[in-house]
Amino acid sequence: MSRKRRRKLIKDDEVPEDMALQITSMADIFTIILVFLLKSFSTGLATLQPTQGMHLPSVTTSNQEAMKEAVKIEILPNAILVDQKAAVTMTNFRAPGSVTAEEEQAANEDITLNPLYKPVFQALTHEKGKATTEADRKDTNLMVLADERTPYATLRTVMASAANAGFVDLQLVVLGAD
Amino acid sequence: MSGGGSNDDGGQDFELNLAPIIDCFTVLITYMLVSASFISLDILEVSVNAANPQTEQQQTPPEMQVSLGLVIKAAHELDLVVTGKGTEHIAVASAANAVDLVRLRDQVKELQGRYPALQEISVRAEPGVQYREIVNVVEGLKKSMPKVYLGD
Repeated sequence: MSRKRRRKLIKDDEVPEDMALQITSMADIFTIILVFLLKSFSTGLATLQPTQGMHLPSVTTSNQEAMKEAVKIEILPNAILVDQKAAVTMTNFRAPGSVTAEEEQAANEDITLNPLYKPVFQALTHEKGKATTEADRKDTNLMVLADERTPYATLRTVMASAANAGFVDLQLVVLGAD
Repeated sequence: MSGGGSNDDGGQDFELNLAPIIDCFTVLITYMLVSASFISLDILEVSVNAANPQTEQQQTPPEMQVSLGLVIKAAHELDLVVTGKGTEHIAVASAANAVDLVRLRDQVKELQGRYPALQEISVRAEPGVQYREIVNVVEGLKKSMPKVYLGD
């Protein structure tokens, strides 16, 4: 057998057939990714998921206001949700059914006559009643996720219900500036 | 008899098994990526006007007490209402088919120069005005007014 062929045979024998997987570096990378994701979650806003179909309004500058844990109310074109449960259904941001001009005028003067007022007020009062600690009972914060097309008439009714239910500090959730 | 440094009875070699750690990390990361929202969200803090306390106003002499209101009208027009000894209306016309936030900011600054105690503003709108416009105006006001109230 020639020397070259013998050297090649020896080299072939030394090459290992199974390559060991280096998972130490994979553990390093996973640790870094996990720390990054945990930091994102700690801000709180990362866990907030607007309901499908909701178009939040956008702002042009970053406000840097910290989010406080609060009861969430969502105003969609077809419903108002309080903590993900439908409080009242709507048709294009208005109460279902027809309303006469006199009824609308009366509702403008006395907001409690608006058909949207009572169900929203009851839902918010129910949420307030779920509070177990004194701090939660005194909490006046309410997180508002409203579609950008919501008319002020509907928003006004929701705010009046919220104020009478004890929620006077509103956190308006908007799409931040990139 | 063996020499020094024997591993038979003394220190134990401990090999860290990375496979279960990698499994846990994979599950955690997958869960967080799936549940995280990649939309950047922000918060605008306002108060409802029904709960407008008078605490700061009470500290200023009556002749200096003024309140500032803003009405967002249809067609992107604004009406600043200064209420004190009398009532003054300042109209802010629209610009380029949108609310003129620059002019609004200048007017508010001028009013703050006239009445230094002015630190809050009450915002309301006509029934048909859309929420996006209200948010635009509130965002503009928050740059110069520490406290913004929303509602009638």
